[in-house]
Amino acid sequence: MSLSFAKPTTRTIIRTLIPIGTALLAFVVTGFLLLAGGFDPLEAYGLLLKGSVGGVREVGETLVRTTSLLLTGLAVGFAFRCRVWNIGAEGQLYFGAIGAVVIALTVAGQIPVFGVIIAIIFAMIFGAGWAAIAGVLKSRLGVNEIIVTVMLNFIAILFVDFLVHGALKAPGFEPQSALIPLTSQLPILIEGTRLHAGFLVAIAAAVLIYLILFKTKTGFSLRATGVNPKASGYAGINVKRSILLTLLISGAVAGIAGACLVQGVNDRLLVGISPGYGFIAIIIALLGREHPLGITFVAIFFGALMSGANLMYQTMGIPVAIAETLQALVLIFALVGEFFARWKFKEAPK
Amino acid sequence: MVIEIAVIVTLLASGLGLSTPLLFAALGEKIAERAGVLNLGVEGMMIMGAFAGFMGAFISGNIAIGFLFGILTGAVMASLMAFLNVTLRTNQLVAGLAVWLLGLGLSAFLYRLAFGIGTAPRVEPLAAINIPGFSDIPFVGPVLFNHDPLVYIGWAMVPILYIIVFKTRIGLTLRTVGENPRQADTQGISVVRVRYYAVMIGGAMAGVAGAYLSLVMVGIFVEDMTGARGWIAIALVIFGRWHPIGIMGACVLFGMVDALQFSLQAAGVQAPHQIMLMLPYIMAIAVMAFTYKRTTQPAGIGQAYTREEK
Repeated sequence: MSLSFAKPTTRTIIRTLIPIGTALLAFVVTGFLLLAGGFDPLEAYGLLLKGSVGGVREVGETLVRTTSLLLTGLAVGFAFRCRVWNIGAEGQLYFGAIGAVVIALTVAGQIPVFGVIIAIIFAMIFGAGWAAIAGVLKSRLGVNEIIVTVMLNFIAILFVDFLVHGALKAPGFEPQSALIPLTSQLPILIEGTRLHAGFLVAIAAAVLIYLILFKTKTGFSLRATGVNPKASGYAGINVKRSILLTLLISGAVAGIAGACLVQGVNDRLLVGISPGYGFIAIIIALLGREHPLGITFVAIFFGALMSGANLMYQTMGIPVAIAETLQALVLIFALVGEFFARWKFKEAPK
Repeated sequence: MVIEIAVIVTLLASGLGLSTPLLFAALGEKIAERAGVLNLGVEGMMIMGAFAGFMGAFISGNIAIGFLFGILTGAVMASLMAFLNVTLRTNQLVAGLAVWLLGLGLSAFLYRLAFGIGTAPRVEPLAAINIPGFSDIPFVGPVLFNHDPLVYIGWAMVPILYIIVFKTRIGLTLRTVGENPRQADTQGISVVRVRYYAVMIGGAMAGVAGAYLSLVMVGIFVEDMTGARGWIAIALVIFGRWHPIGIMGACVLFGMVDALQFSLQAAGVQAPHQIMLMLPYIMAIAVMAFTYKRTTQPAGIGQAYTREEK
């Protein structure tokens, strides 16, 4: 592989061209849908570009989205890498948000400087705790984690709905919690944007996940368990513990995403605090090949798509679901492209 | 006393109605799983069926054409699933997740593209029909014989599928492909073709399930209106142990829980509605925890079949 760095072979050229080509294909297909809906796709994609990277404020918006997508993407990607199918990042995000808001409104808000961090740590504990339900069921009873985590998403979303209509409701008409104190809010990084320090937390999380996965013994045994549970069991790895630990770490990272939405973006808990970041995270994890670096790139790309979609909506009235459609199509075309990438190699010698 | 019986009648009748979309989706999922394809894309096929069914009925003014649209769209989404998994041999879980997320995004996008933002067009939902003679029987009549036609079609599917899967050559072929694809291949059965058919029939049934939500239950399309019913259907296949009768039992049970939840709310029971809405999801988890160990799933499930390798 290092040789190909010096002199790119046809193989590496194909490897880099195929994902770009398949992503473009997704845009072309969506362009035809826009055309059918009576919109000019070129004008729309121009706005997509302008709305995502057209200025400091726009880049800020993109990175705000990226923060949520990166954290949830890392959570899902980490679990997938260990072959634990955690589809529950959305629910874990919601529980993280609950943890952050509860502690910020009670204890952490009174504590200067460390209040921010305490709230994030609580969000991690809440996210991990919510994921632990699936972890315990999987490791103790062998219950499929996919369906359990999907169900836990819906329960968590309803639970937040319940809280902001009841126990956590602030006085007034809107179903939302009170504003959290300034001491537990994440500071804004760039004046005139909404970009908050949570972005740095997300980048740090990416580095940390990389180190855990590839540079520690724990990470090695977690990955080994995923690839071959039987052999890992013989090698003395506690498989049940590995599955539980994977879900705990994954849930904790998704919990930080919830904390960032509460402490960095909304400064409170409200209904629908996430527009499905935890679901898009599944696409991000798969496209990023379950690797923190790949996940980071895809999260930035998808963050741009989402903030660009906002401008397309405001200016032309194009439905914002165009972002989700594009994201899913990029994944499907990438899966097709991957097949052809493999297929091409078979004929090449070596 | 009279009022209480009326409440129970409504509860049982609406429970059977609510179990119908689950039944279609779960039976369809079962067919795919019998062929060895764990189809996680049901939810995506359902929501696309709900959308296409609504569109078809709205444009044509005919509910039957709406259902036809739902069926075709479900099958098209399923053919994508089959293409990814059977032809390209993408991991089944990944293929299913991709189809799910595509359905979720695409249905919302296309609906808003077609109708714009801020409008909620309606179609007249499919009405219940009385079965002459039977619907007049006290208690039993209104519970069992006063439903829309889809409810009866759903019930009819159960024995039909049972006979096809367990008593016919087609069923034997299907099960062989699911249990032991290699053996099926040596017998001259095309694993690829059987899996395509099975997944697409399953998708068509998920399409019916979705169209049932939009065309029978409410008469409108709402984004994410499936609310994880496709996922619950997957759980119910496991709960019903891959057997049509078991699956029907599981679906009726879940329909009843849904109905109970609605009627408790309607009766003004002092419980927050969000907590009540959680019931089916909590039950799905409980059911999975309770049954998972005791089940035997088709042996070939989850693996893409390759001829040359191994």
